[in-house]
Amino acid sequence: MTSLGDVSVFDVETRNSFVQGVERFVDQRYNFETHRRLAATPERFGRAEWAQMAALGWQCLPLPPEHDGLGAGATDTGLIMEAIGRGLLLEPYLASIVLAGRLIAACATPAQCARLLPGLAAGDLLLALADRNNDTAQPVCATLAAGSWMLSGAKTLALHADVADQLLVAAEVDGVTALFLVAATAPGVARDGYVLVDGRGIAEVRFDAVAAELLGDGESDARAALVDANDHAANACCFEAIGAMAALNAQTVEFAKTRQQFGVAIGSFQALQHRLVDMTIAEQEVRSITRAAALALDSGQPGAGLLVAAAKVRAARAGRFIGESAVQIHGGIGMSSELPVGAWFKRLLAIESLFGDSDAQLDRLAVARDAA
Amino acid sequence: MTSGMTSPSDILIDLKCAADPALAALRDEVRAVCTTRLPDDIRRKVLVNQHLGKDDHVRWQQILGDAGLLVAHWPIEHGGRGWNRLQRWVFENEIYRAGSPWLVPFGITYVAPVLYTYGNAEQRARWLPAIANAQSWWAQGYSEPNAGSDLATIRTRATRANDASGDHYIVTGQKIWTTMAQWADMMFALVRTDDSTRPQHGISFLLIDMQSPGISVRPIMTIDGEHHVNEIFLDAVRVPAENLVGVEGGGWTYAKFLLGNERLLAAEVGKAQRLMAQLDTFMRDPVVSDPPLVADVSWRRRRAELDSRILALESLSYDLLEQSESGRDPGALASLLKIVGSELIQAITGTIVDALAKRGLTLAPGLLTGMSTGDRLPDGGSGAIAEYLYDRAATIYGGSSEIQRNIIAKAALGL
Repeated sequence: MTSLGDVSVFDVETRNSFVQGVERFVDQRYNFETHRRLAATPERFGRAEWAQMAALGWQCLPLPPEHDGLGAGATDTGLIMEAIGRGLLLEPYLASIVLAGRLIAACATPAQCARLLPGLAAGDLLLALADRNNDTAQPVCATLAAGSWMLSGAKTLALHADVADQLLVAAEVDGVTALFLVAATAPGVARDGYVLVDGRGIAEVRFDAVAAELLGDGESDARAALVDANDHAANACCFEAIGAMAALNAQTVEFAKTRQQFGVAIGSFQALQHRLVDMTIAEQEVRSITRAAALALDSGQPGAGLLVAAAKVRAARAGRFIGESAVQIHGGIGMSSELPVGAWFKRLLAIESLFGDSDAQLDRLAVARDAA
Repeated sequence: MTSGMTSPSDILIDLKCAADPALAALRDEVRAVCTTRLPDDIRRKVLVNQHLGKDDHVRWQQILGDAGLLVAHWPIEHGGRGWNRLQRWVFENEIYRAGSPWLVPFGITYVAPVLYTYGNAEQRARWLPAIANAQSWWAQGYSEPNAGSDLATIRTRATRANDASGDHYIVTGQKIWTTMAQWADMMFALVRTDDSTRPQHGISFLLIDMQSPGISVRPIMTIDGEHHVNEIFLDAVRVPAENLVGVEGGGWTYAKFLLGNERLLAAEVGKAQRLMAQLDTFMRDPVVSDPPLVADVSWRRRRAELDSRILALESLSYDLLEQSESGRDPGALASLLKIVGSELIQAITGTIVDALAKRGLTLAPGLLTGMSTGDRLPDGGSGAIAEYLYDRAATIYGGSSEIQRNIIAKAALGL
């Protein structure tokens, strides 16, 4: 049997105490009022909270050990992501650490790693990935002139690019995908910040003859690293969804036990009981397949990406069902923005749309079945 | 991307086996037996959903018995290999993927564990060997016309009588939905031995010889047009008192033990994978639809959605089985495997019906028994429609999905 010990950087005891620390932070430092207050600030996240997370070792967890990290994989990172979903954290952990951090570790030169990773680990540097082309605009093209790279074109839906210090930009060069580093405030960069449905920041980014630094030595194609990083981000999203779904289910079961109508708790009605059971089942399924996908990623199993794809689809279906059901069972009060129910629901909606929506993931699975 | 070459049906078993060489050896052993010893004619019947005869079942069970696989989940002292439930589940998935007939469980996994757990030495010696080498066929006498989901209300009565011909129970009543009872040598039955106590406490577990005078078996034809289940009438049937298992009034406990044993194995992932292969075949077949459905993006996504559901169920089964093997009982939550597993099988066969409907939902019933040729549908089409119809039973038997949801709501959610 596969034990956690095979893929975790922690022994059981350290892992438990790390989890307790993560949960304590969410319970004591990041309640729903914190979420609402921070969501209303211009940056839409908390710099102070981000620094506290760094002090607790969150940022360094998945980064490589040779650059101030702990070298954890998807399984361990999932602990943090689950807490992020439960606590509705707004900070750019997924964008800056899971996604950009992984790409730096995979693609950058040792000198670039030494320059960037310690800042990421300490929470001093924020990175965001801009890899998604905008259907209605020119894709980013990179040109080399007099030994310097220049980027022009547009990217869309770059999570937390509105607040990042530097952007990682994917561009095609001679049929090969390359990654470039760009200072977010460099001349020629235009960022249009938007708010995701759950309150997090996201941006459309345009580049007009922007000076850029090639990540890595230019010898290898970054496409595989991008697929891998997106798989890790999608898997992390599934863990985040588990946190939100578990919170919604717990809250909704509790509500059904205490809310009285017709002289009895509404949880005594079979129609609601069966729906709550289905919500529980949906959560359990996502838990299991997400953990299996993380294990597959961490052990380098062929087909790991397919498990991630399947997990992402199940998380999307379960998230929609649990979110909608939680609002329905709460009744009128479920519609109120004063309750976190709607906020968890919206986090699940946002997750569904990020890092490959269900159609995109199903198409990956369909190709695998063709080859079977 | 090399990962694109991995079949969705292989990912999880490969992942488990990579971490567990003993499990990998078990899987390889089972695959080898299926490849080299599962008779082609039997496999073909399964793959095209034809009906199997008793001979087909017995022939394959005896091969598995000979290979040491049929009752490997029994304890070593009773002739098994002491497999745990995880090993048993992997075994079942592998054989069903490969086209094995359903291993009729009434003997090997239902009554046998009750016998070696609660039966006496004579009962074990008398019944277990014939079960282990597939020489006796068992039926399960549980449901009655007025006791379906509410099983504790059974009324088939067994009255103890000690007369000139010995110590007996006289059994009178009726059982229904008794699967394959037309082939059975023996039936284990829940009977009422005491009316004066709580319904559950007055039930006993009795082994009844199907050749006994007073037993009649009447077939019930099901909506797929076939004879799977029966009504059994018991008219003053004399059953030797030595055929009582355990203690009088203990029947409910043994029945619950039996169900609990099986709950974690309820997800038929291997069967789901076989049905997915069949769906895939129909989706590629220009006779079903031209251009074939596999070229249609909405059909590709439907098929992929089912694959994602199988993978979720499969990973959940592994988690609950591993939890259980490590001593943490998942409790009532395990009921979800039956709910999800049965609904998933129904979703797959329902999708197959949708695919076949492109060509027309025509039946050639003779095909199911090999009596005719010339289906309008591709090979297996008529059988797949029958399979869909018969699989409606999956959410009804063994505790309906509604009962399972009630159990989880109460025991796991505290509602």
